[in-house]
Amino acid sequence: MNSIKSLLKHFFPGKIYHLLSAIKNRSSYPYSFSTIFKLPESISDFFVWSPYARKTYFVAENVRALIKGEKVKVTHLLKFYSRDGVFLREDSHSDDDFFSRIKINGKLNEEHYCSFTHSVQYDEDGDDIFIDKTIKMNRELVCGQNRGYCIYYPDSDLSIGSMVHGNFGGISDQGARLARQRAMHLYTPAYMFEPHNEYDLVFNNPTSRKLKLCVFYNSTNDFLEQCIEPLGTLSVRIVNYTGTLSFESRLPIGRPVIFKNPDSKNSSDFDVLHS
Amino acid sequence: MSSYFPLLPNIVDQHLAEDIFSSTDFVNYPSNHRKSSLKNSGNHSVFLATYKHGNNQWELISVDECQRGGFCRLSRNSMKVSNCEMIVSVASPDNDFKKQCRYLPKPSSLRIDSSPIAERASLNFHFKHCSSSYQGEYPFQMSCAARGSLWSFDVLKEIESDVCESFLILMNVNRDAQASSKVILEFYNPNHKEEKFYYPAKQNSFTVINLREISRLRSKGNPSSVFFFQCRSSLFLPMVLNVNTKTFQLALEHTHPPAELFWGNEKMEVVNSIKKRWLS
Repeated sequence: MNSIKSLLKHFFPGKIYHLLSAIKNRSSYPYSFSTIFKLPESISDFFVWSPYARKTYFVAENVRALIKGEKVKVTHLLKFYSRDGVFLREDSHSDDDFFSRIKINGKLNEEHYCSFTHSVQYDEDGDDIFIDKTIKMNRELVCGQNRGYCIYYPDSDLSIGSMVHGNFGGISDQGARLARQRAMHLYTPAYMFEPHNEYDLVFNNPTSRKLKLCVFYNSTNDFLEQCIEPLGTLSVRIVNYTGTLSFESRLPIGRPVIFKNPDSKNSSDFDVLHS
Repeated sequence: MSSYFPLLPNIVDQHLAEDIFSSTDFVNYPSNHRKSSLKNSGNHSVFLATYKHGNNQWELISVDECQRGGFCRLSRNSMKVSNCEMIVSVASPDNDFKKQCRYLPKPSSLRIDSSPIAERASLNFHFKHCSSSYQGEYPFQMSCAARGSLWSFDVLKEIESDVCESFLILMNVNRDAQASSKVILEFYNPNHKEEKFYYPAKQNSFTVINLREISRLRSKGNPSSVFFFQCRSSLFLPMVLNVNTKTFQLALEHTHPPAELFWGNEKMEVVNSIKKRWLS
């Protein structure tokens, strides 16, 4: 298989190979085909904010400093969207370190889970040959990806947080939504839900279209259908259930962040994981 | 692209009143597929062979049959193995595993189409009544690499409070049981790159490091600030486990490989130049 790939790459170099590959897998290609020809400066994952966490930190990577091998002053921007996908506010945090641990302030006046993106502003440094070489000359083929982690501290006297990386996003620094809905997909994490725990499944919609979603309770054959607005967030509470769950949507990567015992009323067994 | 499913080590440490136990949950169903592909999928069982590494060979220690859509939990405590031995499970439709072998069998893939996301298992830690999980795998292609390198960060550690411990868990699986070289890990503050601490590690094994111990070694700066770590001669999958020794809460997550910092079809060129800069 690898030798066939190498051969195809030889005869169809660069963008043509990637376009052919995307067309072949078009029913599961997660992004707009335009990204094969032109990338934004950076894209962001879609991160989840929890109304139940006592405090939440965001760990931001300073990709420019990592490239350069020394501190570079940047401004991290966090843009928040409500459950219905309405823009709520923007937080900014200036720092020059390789990683920043940013405390997300306030409760956002939201009682529901909502989502946010991470982007970075920096001063252009035209004399920086290394950054020119690594990023700018490849601008059409490579861009920065703002991944980062959220750390959620549960609403009880626990001194460690539970950390998780962002959900599938593809949202550009200018707010363009590059994620696409394609064929219907079924996502099934290898995770056994247990009746003595409660869970919140938190889905978000990084696309420009309303997203239909169905949660299948595989051990009882029940299901739940919901819709998520563009840039919106949906949570589903799972109580007293044993077994696996599957999630059906037109997102090629349609998976939730799972919060175990999200309000920690009954247990210190709090956990957050990416499914 | 198929995957192996490792069983994480039990965590034993002088700061813990009890040991932290590991388990792996496997589900015989593709992680992700198009709805239209369902007609292509069989309805067969999968056999999950579990091998342990030792004496330059892989030794079969159990075979579990998992029905279609079924669930299988492997616990380190239910096996006659030590806390840190490399244990790997391999899925196959046929129960014809060799009892001993130099090369781990190539795993069968559960995938039924080209949908994104590798097949995964739930890798878990348990501490008293608490547990933490991570959806992970060890890609077959990585297990075939004769050489590689690691460059990562301990950005997820939590050691400010006395009741918190953070463990860095580095995992290396090589299909070839004879790949068991000793290698050197380097830890450093990125602002003082000249001051490095060295730590031994080994291929085809788990390396567990208490990050509080590493922070104690440093002489400059804030002990809880971020350390970088790297290995010039071997690749590893890094994970961080945070533990509250008072409430027994656990938090497990992997750190992003440098390739995740970029997006685009030619991103590896950029990643390689960054790694070269830091590793040189």
